[in-house]
Parts: sequence; structure tokens; C-alpha cells
Amino acid sequence: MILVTVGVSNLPFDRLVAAVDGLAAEGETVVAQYGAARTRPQRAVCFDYLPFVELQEWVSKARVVVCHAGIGSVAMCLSTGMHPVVVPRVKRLGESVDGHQLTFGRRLGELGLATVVEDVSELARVVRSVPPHQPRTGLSRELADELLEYIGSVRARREDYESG
Amino acid sequence: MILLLVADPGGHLFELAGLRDVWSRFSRAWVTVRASDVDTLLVDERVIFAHGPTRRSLMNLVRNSLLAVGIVRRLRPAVVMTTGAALSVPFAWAGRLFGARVVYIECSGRVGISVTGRLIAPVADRLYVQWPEVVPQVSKARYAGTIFLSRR
Repeated sequence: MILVTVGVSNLPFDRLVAAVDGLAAEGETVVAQYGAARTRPQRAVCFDYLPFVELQEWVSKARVVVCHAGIGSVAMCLSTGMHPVVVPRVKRLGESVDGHQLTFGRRLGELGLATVVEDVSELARVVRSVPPHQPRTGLSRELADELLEYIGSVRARREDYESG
Repeated sequence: MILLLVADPGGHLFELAGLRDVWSRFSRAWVTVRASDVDTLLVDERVIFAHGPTRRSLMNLVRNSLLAVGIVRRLRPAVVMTTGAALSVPFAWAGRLFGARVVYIECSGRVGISVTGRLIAPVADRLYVQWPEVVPQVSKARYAGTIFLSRR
């Protein structure tokens, strides 16, 4: 099963949603969450939005997830060990308020954490041969340690002040 | 000592919830906006709901500013820790006003600094970005790894 998700943005991502039927034409079941899109796929199981838990379930069942380059969708895939195919939203087409998805998507691609597709006509070909699932990614110990130390030091200073 | 955690639903909340190893060590309260991910990510947590949507809504910014002052005055957090987005701005400023330390972590989905980050920077005691190349672009910025991209 292929899951296509455009996230919770209130901006339409018609370009990706319009490519869904092309994916379904390959014969595999496609589940699509289309958000604010003004077009509807004809050959997919469709939802406008999905509650978090249900989206998580679909992600865990999918062979491939195709998503926008939003942190929520990408983090959900990476936390389950999924290698997502990301299609960044573009400002010029009214899909995003700025170009941050393009930069983020390309960085994910460079790091080998996702496959980036900027031209949706290439989507079906890319989805056919997605890399296998990758090892689970998780919290950076370094950031957590720094934060713990910092908040701990604020607490210690406050307790000193309060007690003396 | 109370740690006040603030994040809009979606990726922001996902990232802050992912820092469980940090926030679970302290007495804490959360501020977010009602959404389906909140119940899943913040099970058994003390959650205060703010007014949404927060993006580009002047009305909700005013309401959330009043709420922020009220909450911060009542809880007197020692630290306000946030991952954005627009919801964090009034809470960071209110925190600073009442003597809390402010920790802002820029969203890893942004290779740069967001509008939220710029608005919080003046009152941030710690400002983390999640991509090393952003450090020279933003004064105060620190890099100590990325919340979810690193291999465990």
C-alpha cells in the first residue's frame, strides 16, 4: 500500500494530490490524505484529514509513504524507521508561505534519510523502487544533555536563592 | 520549580514531546492548542489549551498574550522551553517579564531561522538551531545535534 499525505496545512497541495491517480494506475492500493486540495483522486481511498493515531497506523502499514516536506510527516516516518519520498511544497505555486520545505527536503535527501521528488511526473518511477526501511532514528543525546544541564543549573540557582 | 513547555500542535509538539528525557525530570505544565495529536503525545500530562489557530491571527495573539501573562504569573515557571510556532511568542515574552529563563529550539524542518525564532531571539537565554550551518547566520544560536535525525 502507498500512503500519500499532505499534512495539516491549510494551503492546498494540488500538484501532489493530482499525481495520486498516476500512482494508483500501477496497481497498488493508494491511501491519500488530501487536506485543503481543490482536486480529489478518483482511484484512491481518500481522507481530507486523519487523526494522529490513524495516520500513525496507516504509516506503519504502508510500503511507501509519499509526503510533503513538513516536519510532522517526516518525523513520523523517520521515527518508525520509514524512508519517505518527500515532495516539497513550493512558495511560487501557493503551496507554502515560504521556501523552507525545499531546503529541508533537499537536506534530507543529501543525508540519505528521504528520497526527494521535485517534479511529480517522476513520482511513479521513484515509488516503484524506494530504498528499504532504515534503522530507527531518535533523540540526539547531545542536545538532551545540554538542555538537562542548563535547566538543572537554573533550578539549582533558584533553590539557593529561595533557601538563603 | 516548574518547567513550562509550549508548542503548537503538529511537528512543533512532536519535537518537544520527543525531548521526554529532558522534561520528564522536572515538574511541568504544557501549553498547546486543541488537536488530535495532543491526546496521543501528552498522555497524563498537565495541559493548558490556548486559542488557535495561532498563525497570522492578531485576535488570537492578543488572547494568547493575556493567557500567557495569567499562566506565567500563576505558575511562576523557572524555565519556559518551546519549539514554536506562533503560540510561543507571547509565552516567551511573558516568561521573560516574570523572570523565567527562555529556551527556544528552532524546528528541524527549517534550515535557517523562522519568524517565530526572530521574534523570540531578543528574550531567549538559549537559542538552539538543529542544523550546524545555521549557527553563523543567527546571533546567540547554538547547535547540539538534531532531535530526531541522529541515529540512536
